[in-house]
Amino acid sequence: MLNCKDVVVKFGGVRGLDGVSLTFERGISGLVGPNGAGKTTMLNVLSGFVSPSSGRVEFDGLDLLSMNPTGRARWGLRRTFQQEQSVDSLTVWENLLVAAENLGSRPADARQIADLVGLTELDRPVPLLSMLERRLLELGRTIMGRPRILLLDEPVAGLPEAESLMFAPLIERICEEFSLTVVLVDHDMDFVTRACSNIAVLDFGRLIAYGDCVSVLSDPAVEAAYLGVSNES
Amino acid sequence: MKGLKVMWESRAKSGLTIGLLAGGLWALAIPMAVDDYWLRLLTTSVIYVVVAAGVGLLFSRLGIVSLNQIALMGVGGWIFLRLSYWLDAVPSMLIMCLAGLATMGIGVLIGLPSLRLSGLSLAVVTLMFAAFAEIVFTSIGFPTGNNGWRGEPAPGETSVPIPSPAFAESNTGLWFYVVITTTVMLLLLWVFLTGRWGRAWAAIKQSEPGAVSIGIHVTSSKVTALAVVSFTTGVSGALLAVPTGSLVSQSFSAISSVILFAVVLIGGAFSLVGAVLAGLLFVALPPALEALVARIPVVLELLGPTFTNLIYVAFGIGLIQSLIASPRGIAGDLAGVGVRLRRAQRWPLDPSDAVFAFIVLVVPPLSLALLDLSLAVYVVAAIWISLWLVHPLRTLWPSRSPRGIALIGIAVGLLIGALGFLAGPWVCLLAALLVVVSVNFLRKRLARRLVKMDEELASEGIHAQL
Amino acid sequence: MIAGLALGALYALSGVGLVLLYRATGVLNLAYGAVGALCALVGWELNQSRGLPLELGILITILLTVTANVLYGVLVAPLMAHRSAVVQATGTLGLALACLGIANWYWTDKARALRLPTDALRFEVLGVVISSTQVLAVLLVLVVAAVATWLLRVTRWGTNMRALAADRELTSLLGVSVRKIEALAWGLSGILAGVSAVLLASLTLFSAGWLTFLVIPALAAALVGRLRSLWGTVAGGITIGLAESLLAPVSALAQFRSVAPFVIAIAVTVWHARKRTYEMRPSA
Ligand SMILES: Nc1ncnc2c1ncn2[C@@H]1O[C@H](COP(=O)(O)OP(=O)(O)O)[C@@H](O)[C@H]1O
Ligand SMILES: [Mg+2]
Repeated sequence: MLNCKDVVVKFGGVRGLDGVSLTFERGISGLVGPNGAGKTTMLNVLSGFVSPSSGRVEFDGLDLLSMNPTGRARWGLRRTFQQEQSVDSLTVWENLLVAAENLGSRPADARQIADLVGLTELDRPVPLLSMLERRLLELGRTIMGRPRILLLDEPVAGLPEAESLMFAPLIERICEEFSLTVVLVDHDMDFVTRACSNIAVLDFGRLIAYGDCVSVLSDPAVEAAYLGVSNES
Repeated sequence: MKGLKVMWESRAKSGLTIGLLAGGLWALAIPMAVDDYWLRLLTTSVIYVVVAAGVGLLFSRLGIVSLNQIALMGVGGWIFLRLSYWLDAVPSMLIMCLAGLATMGIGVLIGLPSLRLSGLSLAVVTLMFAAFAEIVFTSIGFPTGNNGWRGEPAPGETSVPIPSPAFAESNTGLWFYVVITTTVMLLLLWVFLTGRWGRAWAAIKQSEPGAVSIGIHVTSSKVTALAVVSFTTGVSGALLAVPTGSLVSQSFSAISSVILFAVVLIGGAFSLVGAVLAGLLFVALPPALEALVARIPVVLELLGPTFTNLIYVAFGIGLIQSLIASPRGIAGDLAGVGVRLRRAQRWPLDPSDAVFAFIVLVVPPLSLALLDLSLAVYVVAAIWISLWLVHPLRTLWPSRSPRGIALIGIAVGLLIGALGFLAGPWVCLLAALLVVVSVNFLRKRLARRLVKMDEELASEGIHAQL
Repeated sequence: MIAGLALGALYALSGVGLVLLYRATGVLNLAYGAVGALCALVGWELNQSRGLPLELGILITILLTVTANVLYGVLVAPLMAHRSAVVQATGTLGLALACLGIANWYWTDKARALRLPTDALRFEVLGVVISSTQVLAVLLVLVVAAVATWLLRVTRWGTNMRALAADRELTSLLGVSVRKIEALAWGLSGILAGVSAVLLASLTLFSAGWLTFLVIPALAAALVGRLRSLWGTVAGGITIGLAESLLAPVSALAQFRSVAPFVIAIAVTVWHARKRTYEMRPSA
């Protein structure tokens, strides 16, 4: 159980997050909201790249804020970024290997994970990969060793509809295999509702709705803040 | 595990074998081809190759600008001289390693705080350390074989240089001693670069947040790089002290650290060939130019006796040029020629890299060793010129067959080589310059015209659509 | 003591020039001393062998530093503007090498004497002889720091400069003429480089190598101000100058007094490096 209490993040005068309190249960939860709502900032706080000016973040009673980002990653809090971060100068295999080496896993496990996410031809350099393969590689890199929490920042952005649809079952499978707490950020509502049981909605750094898909989708505040925007685009 | 092995075999190992083979051939050929003066000079250049490789590794793999490597070399040399006096029963190889370790400690101590801040502060702090070390070296001097912690001769005493190992007495022996030690140091760098740490460095270079998110300690990875490089640099400093058993503080000025950085970028920070070029530029270019200009009184009269200072100007401009336009330096440009050749036309470099490597890396040392020196120089020149010409010629005549182009390139190269043999080096140099420059000029003009035509076509297309 | 104060003031003056440029353009100019040295040598040469009056020579020196700086800032620096700060700083090392090469080629690294008319104007306060060059140095740095603070804080140019350093592309989209402002910053920092080179040449030693490494104490001063604060830089520069002059009478340490900048810079870096910050923008 990943617990955030009254998290406040200030960027100068701007409040990136304005007192957000949230609990993510084991399983896949969605975090949605229009552009600039503070979703990425939330993930940055959880993974330690941004220190909140006040608030608490705990996982099953363990204070996460006391660890630095590398420490959190090694402990099992993993994340992806909006821009995927695979290393262009290495091959697919070396990319998996470098993650395995630093997250306390063996090369044999890295090979299993390559199979799990469905990567083949591991000696290709990363620049030759398709967008889908890059996203798969990044996902594979985050689940080396012993993952506990997985934060995915728009994992299917830039993928065509058909490909992004096959991502949801994969995430579900991974979540079950490692019994993870997954936080899935996206603004594609279809994708999120397909994959998640619970959804949290942010707007201007505030939590405006939280609950199961049906209740959140029918929430008038959400409709006003978020769905209106998404339908336009 | 299997994947790892496959990787290692396919990429790293072939590069290593070619490198070792070519390096070995060069190492054997050079003592046969040059006289004692130049052999000493080239020996020193080889020592600086390790330092250049370290600077290049830090910059190309981690974006770290370290401006104190020559100063660290001095530190290594200083410690080596002192230790060899105190521990005169210990083999000098071991003392070198100790000096390297001590240098490593100092290099890390300087770099650690600023590494945590930013790359800019590391550059600034290392530059300051270079200036600091220059002051310290000039005021306390380098130890000779005397007592006391500074080891300087007391008034009335004469200085006793540390005896060099028996193996390194003759110039040729020294050459092989240095070549072997540097090869070990370069292998050390190579092991780090292709191993676990190298992968972590690549991840950091790509993106620090990305690296952190897969559990990499950014600072300690960078410190590891700094430590390895400081170690090899310290050992090279010790190596510098081996031939004469003494060092002078002028070799370790602050500005020379800056110059070394410049030549590394000019030579090419990404590759060993670049490091070799950097070592040559740093050590052998000024005396080579001096020897050359001494033969042409007109130039000497024009530029005056202090003209070697003008090399700094060239290095400065070269540094800026490499930063802006050619991040892989001369070595990268050369490798680029090879890659383009292999991509654009299969002949004459098909079927594999081996042929290319053979032509570029093996034929020149072989001819240097086997042929008369003056003839060999022109053979080498002919090969290089042909290689340089093929690509520009090909863009000039895109319709010609690759084979024909390559033949033309080789013909022109041989012609220039022959011209040089018959009419002397200056004619050769001038002809080569003229041909390469004019072909490149024509090519650029052609490229510009093609772009213009493209644009015109495109705008016509738009008009047609409208 | 007074000499240390004056020396420190000159370090501070150079440091202010560095910080000003860095804040406006994001370039840490490591060629700061070298350009000043070369131009001062040209001015000196004109004065000595062409018989130009000294004042004119100094004026030409300053004009030349401004020209050289602006040329680099307009022609070369923009080509690297999208790169990291350390690459941009490294680029200026190329300029430094080139300047030093020319200076050593034409003038060699021999030390020369540059006597300013203010040197002769000496007076005694409380038993200490002070030359008016020293007074000038101290006054100058105070005035310059005050004016520069005002410039950055209040004027439109200053606001634009600060915006520019924060985000070059965004600022140009806002309709600010990036080139013009950068040229201005380079020019202003060039004036300071010229003035401090001339004053330093007359107060201490006039040789190309020495003046080139003037950039070291200036950098240390700038680091004390974290490359941001002008008054921090002034304080840092004066501290370094004083430290150097306090070490001078201690004969065991006298020869090491030029290491003061390094020691202070290391101390400051260690102090600032206690906490690690993360650069969230993935590097290009
Ligand atoms: N490092 C930063 N500095 C200043 N403002 C920031 C920073 N990171 C994010 N912000 C601001 O915080 C707000 C939330 O951003 P973000 O979390 O990236 O939104 P999104 O929901 O689209 O991921 C935005 O207004 C953004 O401009
Ligand atoms: Mg976002």
